[in-house]
Amino acid sequence: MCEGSWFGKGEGEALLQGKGRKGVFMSNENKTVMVSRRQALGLGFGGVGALMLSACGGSGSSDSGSGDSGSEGYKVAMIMSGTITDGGWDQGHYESLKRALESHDKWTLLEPKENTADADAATAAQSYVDQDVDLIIGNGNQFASDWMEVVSDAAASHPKVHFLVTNTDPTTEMADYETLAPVETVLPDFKQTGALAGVVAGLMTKTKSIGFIGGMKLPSTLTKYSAFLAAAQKIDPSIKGQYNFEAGFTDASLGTKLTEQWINSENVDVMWGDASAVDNGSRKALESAGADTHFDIAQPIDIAGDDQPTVITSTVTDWMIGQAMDEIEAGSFGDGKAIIGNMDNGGISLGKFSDKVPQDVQDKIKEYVDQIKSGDFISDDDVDQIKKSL
Amino acid sequence: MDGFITALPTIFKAMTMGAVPILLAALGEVFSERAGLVNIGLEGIMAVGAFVGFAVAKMSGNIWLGVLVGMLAGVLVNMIYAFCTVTLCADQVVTGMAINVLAPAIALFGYNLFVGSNPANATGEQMASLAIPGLSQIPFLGDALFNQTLLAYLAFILVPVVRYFFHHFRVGLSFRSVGENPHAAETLGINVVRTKYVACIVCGALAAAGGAFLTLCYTPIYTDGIVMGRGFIALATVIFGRWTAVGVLAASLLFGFFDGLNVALQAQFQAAPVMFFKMIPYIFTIVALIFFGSKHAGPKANGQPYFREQR
Repeated sequence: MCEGSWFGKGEGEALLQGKGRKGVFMSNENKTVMVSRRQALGLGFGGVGALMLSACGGSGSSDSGSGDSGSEGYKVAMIMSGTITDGGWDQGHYESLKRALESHDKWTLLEPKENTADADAATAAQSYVDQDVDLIIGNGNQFASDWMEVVSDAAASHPKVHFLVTNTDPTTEMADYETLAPVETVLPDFKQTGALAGVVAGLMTKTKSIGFIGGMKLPSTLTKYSAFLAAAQKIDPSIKGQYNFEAGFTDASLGTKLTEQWINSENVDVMWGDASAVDNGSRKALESAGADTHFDIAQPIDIAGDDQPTVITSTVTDWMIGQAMDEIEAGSFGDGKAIIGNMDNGGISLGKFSDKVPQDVQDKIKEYVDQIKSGDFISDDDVDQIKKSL
Repeated sequence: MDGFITALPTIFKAMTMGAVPILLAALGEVFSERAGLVNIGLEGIMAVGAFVGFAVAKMSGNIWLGVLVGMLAGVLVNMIYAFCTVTLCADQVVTGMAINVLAPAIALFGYNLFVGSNPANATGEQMASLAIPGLSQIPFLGDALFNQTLLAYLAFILVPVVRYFFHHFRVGLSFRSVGENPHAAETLGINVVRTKYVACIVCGALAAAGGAFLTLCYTPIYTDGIVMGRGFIALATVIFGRWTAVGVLAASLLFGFFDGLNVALQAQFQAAPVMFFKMIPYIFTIVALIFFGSKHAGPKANGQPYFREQR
């Protein structure tokens, strides 16, 4: 019997040998109690049940659970850092995947793996590799480092399997890969995303003070904020920006408290969030301050509507999964290419406006959107200048 | 300095808001530990309370029903702990940790079913604040103390109630006896096992109410990890508060203050490393435990399983 076990020496042996008439003995610090077999079994089943629930807590529903789509079909699976219902990053990916599936009827979706920790990312990917899944998607740049060995092994043993890692620059973040043959990445144009939010904020702010909350200080976060502020200042150079890049992605109360601070001390009246659940907290603070005067720009999914009184529009990101599927079908996928999601190919867009955005402002936004699309609205220098000051 | 003074009302507001969920869970833990049960599963119970409160309030449109059912769910989860530790005399720490793994997983599983089938369920109901006329206008502290949700007022009112219970009610004294010396208590005719079960019921209900506060009063959403370690902080505040209701209130408010200060500093000094400010409440917790976490304080039989027949 193991040291530190609930069963004392001898008593554990009694249990193993079935000694004792009705029960087994459990000991704790030389104190012994009779526990019936039923209770011991109950404890055992309870423990197993806890582990099973813990394991399935991270899994959600999918449109189709069947893995075998037939010889003509393709299989796609997504491994996610959060849950498909987080209202932000992960939900945005899942919705992109569902949109892609609507236009690709040969493809079958396997159950997404949610809440995947870095330590489990390789195992999760390997389980799909073993099933010969055609496209395995990792929704974030952490998967680039987690999957290095899996990709290398799969390239040799499972040539049918392809990997798509989002929000990743292959030249810098996959430089150590032995082979990039079965891999592509998706890289949204963060400058465009930030600029779209910036023009909306610049035109809607009355106090000339805008705020941004990011979950993690990534290069993409810095680019988004820099473009956001640069675009707002292009509308009105007196606009000031408040930021926090390390709010995490789960603590909604932090979003509330931070935004309350900025509203009270810096008079912020328009926020743009990049921190999933934290953004919800921020919206709560804006709503408390007055939903007719304090606004939020959501991302990466379009959530403007009656149940979101402060959201005036959303910057929407599509993760270009449909393009990856097309390439796999055509046999041109791979070699470490980056699919750039931008306003031209529908990777980046503005969502619907709420009725709090006046028509004349909407018209101006449309005018600026065209300039952002053509690259004339803000330059790389404008963005870099702000980035250097952070 | 001017910036700090401007930020003070917001810091105080964050202090009281941040203190309430910790206070509720810690008061529950006071009941538990006074009866000799160290329940480190508060974090998990709060997660269940947060989800069930959120979901029931959303489905029924009645926030108080959400709070009530959330508390009931907390009790149910804590009954697992009670059965294992009181009836089976299992290790309290191990069982508490199992609750911390099991309960958030149940909550997440339920959330995925609830929101996965209908994304409109992602945003729930929210309790409105109730400003007390006149008092809420007091500079600096008025808005923080007298413009709260009814659940927050109830949490603060609970403090003198709990204190009175432990010092002036026979049942309260029975709780304390059970936590100090259960065998002596048994000889005086106190039903130790029943007392421990009652303590678990109260602990589960209050900790779950603390969780429900997060989703019904703070923000109208549930996310995996929304409790953010508050259950463990509640455990520390019980020690820091010397196992008394008033002490727990003071400790919760202090933690809330440092949490509010952390956010104010984050907002004020944007270019500084945010992680440094985030450490402040936890450094405070460690320092408090160094000074107040004496082994000799607290109920004497705390954490020890009770074997009725043992001499």
